[in-house]
Amino acid sequence: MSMKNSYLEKTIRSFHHCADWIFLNSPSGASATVSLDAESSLFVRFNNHRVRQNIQVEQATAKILLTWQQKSYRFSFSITNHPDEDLKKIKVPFLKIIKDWDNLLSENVDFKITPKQSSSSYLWSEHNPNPILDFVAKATSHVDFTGLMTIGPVLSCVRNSNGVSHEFLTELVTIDYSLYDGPRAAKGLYSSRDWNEHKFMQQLRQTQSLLEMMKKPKVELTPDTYRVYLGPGAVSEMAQMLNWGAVSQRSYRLGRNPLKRLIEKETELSPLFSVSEDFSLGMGPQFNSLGEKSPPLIPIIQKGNLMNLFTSTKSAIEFSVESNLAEEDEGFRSMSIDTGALKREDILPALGTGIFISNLHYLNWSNPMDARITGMTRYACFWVEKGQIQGPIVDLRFDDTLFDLWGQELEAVTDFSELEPQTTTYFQRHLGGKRVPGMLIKKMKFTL
Amino acid sequence: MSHANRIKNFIAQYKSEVEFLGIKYVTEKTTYMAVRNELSEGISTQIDSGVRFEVMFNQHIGYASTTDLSEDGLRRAFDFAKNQTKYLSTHKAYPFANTIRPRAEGTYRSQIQKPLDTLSLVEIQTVLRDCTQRMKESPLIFYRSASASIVETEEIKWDSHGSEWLQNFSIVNLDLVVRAQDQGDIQTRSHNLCLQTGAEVFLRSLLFPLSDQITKEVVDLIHAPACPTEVRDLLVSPDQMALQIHETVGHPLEIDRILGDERNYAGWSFVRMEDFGHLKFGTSKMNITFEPDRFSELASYKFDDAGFKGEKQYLIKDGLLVRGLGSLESAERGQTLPVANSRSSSWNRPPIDRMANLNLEHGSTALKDMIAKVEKGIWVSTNRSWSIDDYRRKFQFGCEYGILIEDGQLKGVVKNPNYHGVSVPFWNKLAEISNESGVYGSYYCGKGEPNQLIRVGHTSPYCLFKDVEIF
Repeated sequence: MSMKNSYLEKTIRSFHHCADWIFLNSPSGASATVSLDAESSLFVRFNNHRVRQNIQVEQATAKILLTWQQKSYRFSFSITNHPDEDLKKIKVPFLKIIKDWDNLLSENVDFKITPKQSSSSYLWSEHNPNPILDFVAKATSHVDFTGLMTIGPVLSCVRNSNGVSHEFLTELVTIDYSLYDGPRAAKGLYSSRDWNEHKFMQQLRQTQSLLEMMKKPKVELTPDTYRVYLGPGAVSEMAQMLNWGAVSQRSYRLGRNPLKRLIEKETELSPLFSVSEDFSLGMGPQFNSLGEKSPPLIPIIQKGNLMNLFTSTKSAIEFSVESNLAEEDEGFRSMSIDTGALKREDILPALGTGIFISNLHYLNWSNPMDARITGMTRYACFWVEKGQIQGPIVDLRFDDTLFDLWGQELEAVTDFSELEPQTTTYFQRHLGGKRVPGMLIKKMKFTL
Repeated sequence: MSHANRIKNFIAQYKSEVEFLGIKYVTEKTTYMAVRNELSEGISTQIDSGVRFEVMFNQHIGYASTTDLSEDGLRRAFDFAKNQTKYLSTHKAYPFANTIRPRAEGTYRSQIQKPLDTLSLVEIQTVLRDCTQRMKESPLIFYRSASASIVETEEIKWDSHGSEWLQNFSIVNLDLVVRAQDQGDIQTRSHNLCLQTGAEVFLRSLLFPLSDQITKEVVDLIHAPACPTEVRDLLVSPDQMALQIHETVGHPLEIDRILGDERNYAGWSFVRMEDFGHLKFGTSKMNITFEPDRFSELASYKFDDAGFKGEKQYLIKDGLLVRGLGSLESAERGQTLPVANSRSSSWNRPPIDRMANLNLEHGSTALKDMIAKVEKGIWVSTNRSWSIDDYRRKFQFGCEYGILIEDGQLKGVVKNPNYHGVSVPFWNKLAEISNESGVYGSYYCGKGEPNQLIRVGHTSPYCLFKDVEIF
């Protein structure tokens, strides 16, 4: 298949050349898995609708996992796209480690290598960035528009010495932005495989109307316990904490899983709360870096009860439990939280008097044994009285436990949800995403 | 032809097409290994290499990066950088003259005693295994871990002003972690070393006492009562001070944050440009320096990404805010004084304003004398939880280990200590600073769009703050 991008085309050629060499030169009895993460991305950073920085990044990293005699070695390197040069990079460390193999310490686990399987998914749109950039610059020229636009393809591949072969490519236009009016701000996110001016404008207008509502005088609340509505953006931040060790078999077995009491059935969450891994979202590959294809749907918490922990094959072997073919970090790749019955138009009347929270910021476990988290309110958050918005609040710090917030205090879940693609770009663009609804919470503790 | 010659030739050939052309080459080898309960958790080696083009067109600076170092690969990246920068220059945030990049020449090398490659992977693995072996003190301890990232970085920059500088870093980030379990509770004690160092750090005589100390402390912790909820004086160890300085001084002083570049991600700042020279930031005992030229700290270097030479500068002097963390570019945009802090996580990200080594200067009081003066206090060590708002005001930090202080005496260990406060009022409660310091840092400081992780160093003494809410 043509890659439509000469960098990625050369990358994949070089990747296969290296993988073939590894499979051919692995010691007898050893297994090898070779994966590739590559991208050709244009990042444009805006501050006050002006371009602060632009960078085109073409990068490709090949990762080799060699397993043999209850030991493993991982080697990764930047692919230069020149097969002979890339092979040179592998040969020295690869042959050296094989020589030293007998002296390495043994591991807890002898890896199992994935049996033969394959898949291929190519979602090309091939955007020309300039008209999109012009459109966005023009559409935002009258507002303090700040954020990041990302355009370009991301490619993920994996092969192994048993004949596994998976490929996934997607091309996204993502505009992750904030609108500011002095210190008042509202958050927006546009992401699509096919750029659509109208949908972007619709998104921008929604954010602008939130910002308009921020013009009312600020309300300063004293730290206390308040009734709150958490919009999908806020629920997403909270749900992200699950990926910080809370749904991982390994973290549970090694004594650092904050949902320990839920896992051990000492407590349960609200019957309104259900969350699953659901690859029908189509936002990332269903295979992991070992080339294992996950089931399309894995219930994690159902009606308040823990059903499954993400269990990688490595954890499964070490702890003698069943693998559900999770990625090694044992977190959500494609999270979906079930919707409920609360209609959009009923949110403010149902909240009555309390805080409407659009976004949260900088969450962390404050006492992991208790699933207690702390974090800040951010962006469009309002004080509401008798179903009427009174004004934006001065940001507050909360400190409360998920066992309560998603337990006895969870009153209702919205009947709609929002799709949020992964926007993290540490080292590389990350794939995947979440589908999250809003939540009405009877009591949430604010401390500062 | 070597990469260096190809890049130098490239600059000579194409520099006339743009107002400025710089190329930075970075190659970094990271070996990571972990041992848990005497068994290996695997070994990995990562070699990350590439180049970043920096061009100026119509007074706008733009970038392109690639792993393809061939003539064709360089040309492709240059075309991206040139064409996109030209196209976007009509929307530029600020017009820069090409004099914003100084001409720089020189070299930097981490000062080490023994190169990292003088120890084999097997030898290092054995030292780590022996550390986990030392932690087998109590049947309540079920998790004993020692891990290390060993990093060797080479970066070279050439530009159309004739600059050529080279920096070599030798870095180790080492974690010792021990975890105990009793009656449904689990407690963790850890120690992190992150320094520019050589293989000399893998000494049993250095690591065994640290392993022994955290092992003893985790056993104390598992039997300890919970931290009380009240107002007490707070004595903070240097390892937690590192985080306190980082989150409540370092980030709010970044000029690019103050100018709004980070508002969609990391956030803004409570500091305004007009605060420099005026804002009382801490008591008169507080002196914070930007110090990339300090020996062996994690973020020591000679040149930042712009080629600006790193020198010590006071940011807070005797409790007065005097300077921010702004690169040459940010200083010009904000009409303020610069520091050499234009830094990028690697070849594939553009430089932004960063901390380097951000240090709190020590005082003259002995730690034991500080403790003796406390009527009702708590001594906290080792961060385990951190959270702060997008303006860097309201923070909450949690620590692994606390000891109550009553009438000048240490009165017993407490578990799960947390404290919170508001940045400037908190620093204005700084009552005492010890005469000894610890050198720490953060291996993973996140910021920027696209996101970047960078290494920063923090040296701090023990500090005593009056009347802090703990819980």
